[in-house]
Amino acid sequence: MARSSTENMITLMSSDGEEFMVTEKVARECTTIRNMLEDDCVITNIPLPNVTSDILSMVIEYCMEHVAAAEKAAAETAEKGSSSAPAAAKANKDLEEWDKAFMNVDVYTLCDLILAANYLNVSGLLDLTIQTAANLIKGKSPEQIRKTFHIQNDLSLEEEEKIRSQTPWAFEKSE
Amino acid sequence: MAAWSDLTFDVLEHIASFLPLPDNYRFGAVCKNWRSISKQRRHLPAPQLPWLVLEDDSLSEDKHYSLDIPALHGRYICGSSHGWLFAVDLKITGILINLFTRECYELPPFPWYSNKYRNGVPIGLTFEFMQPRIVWKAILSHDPKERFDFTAIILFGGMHEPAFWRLGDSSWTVIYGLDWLVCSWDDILYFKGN
Repeated sequence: MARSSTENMITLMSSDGEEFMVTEKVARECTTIRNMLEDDCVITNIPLPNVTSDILSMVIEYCMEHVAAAEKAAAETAEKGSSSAPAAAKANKDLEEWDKAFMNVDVYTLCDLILAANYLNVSGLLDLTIQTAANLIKGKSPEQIRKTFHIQNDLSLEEEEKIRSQTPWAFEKSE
Repeated sequence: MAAWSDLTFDVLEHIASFLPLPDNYRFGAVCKNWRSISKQRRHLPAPQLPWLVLEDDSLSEDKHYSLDIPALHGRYICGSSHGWLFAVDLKITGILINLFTRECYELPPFPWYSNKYRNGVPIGLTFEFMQPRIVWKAILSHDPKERFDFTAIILFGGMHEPAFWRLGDSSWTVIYGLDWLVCSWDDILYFKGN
């Protein structure tokens, strides 16, 4: 990724003390950080006590990829005067494929990514991770969902029976 | 490492909002925390293909669900709009019910047309079996879950006269203006606020 030397660099610090240098543009993909920068424009070091280094590096990877894709599209538009529709469609598809591959993670990582995307307010990543979680839930019985997400069933037999009896049709085929 | 069962309310609600109706119910049967989201039902289920409401199992399709909705017992369904059903019973009292949330509005009595006679007989429905059919068609301007200032519009009676009702109104307002004896309405639709 081409970077101009004048671009501001921001240091993000994870909960376990690791430092990540990113361009301001990448950092601004996180609305939470963007708001901090707008409140205090000289800030260069941001501690993120809620995000571990492995998750933060993934969030940064996502933001960098999406910033690069947007920059590439903007550069092409500037070069040719207007972006060609097939090229833009291909770029979109490439980015979608990248997102899909990026979501090839275990459910624990997915959960941490959702929390980080929610905390840092990265709307694209939040939608992507939430949609991935929803897709993992769709078509499964409650028992299958518990197994997928490693959730302990803390409902009593009576509660479960009550839930089922309210909408028995929703539990017919999945069992 | 975070646990799925401990996710915050807003995150879980976000996930549930991506789920279609049947998955939404199963989501609520996973654990106590997830149950609390589905019980509150502040969100609507994810958009999905329209559902067809059938009175019995007359459709051989690979996926259909039977619902038992006590509020609909003894009522005719005369319209659907924004996920809500209009239902009228033999006493000609109507309700507006949301199948997903089970929220329900009681509609005021339908306008009676005793002021209109033809050959000394009130125009309208003289046969009991026709009474549930008093409402020919019913639509909503907006989803009542999204805006409280929604308007319900019906075509009622033998001549399909239009009338509207807004939440808070104690009665229906009949729209006059055309000669109903020569003209009857067949269909209505709501278009960009009109």
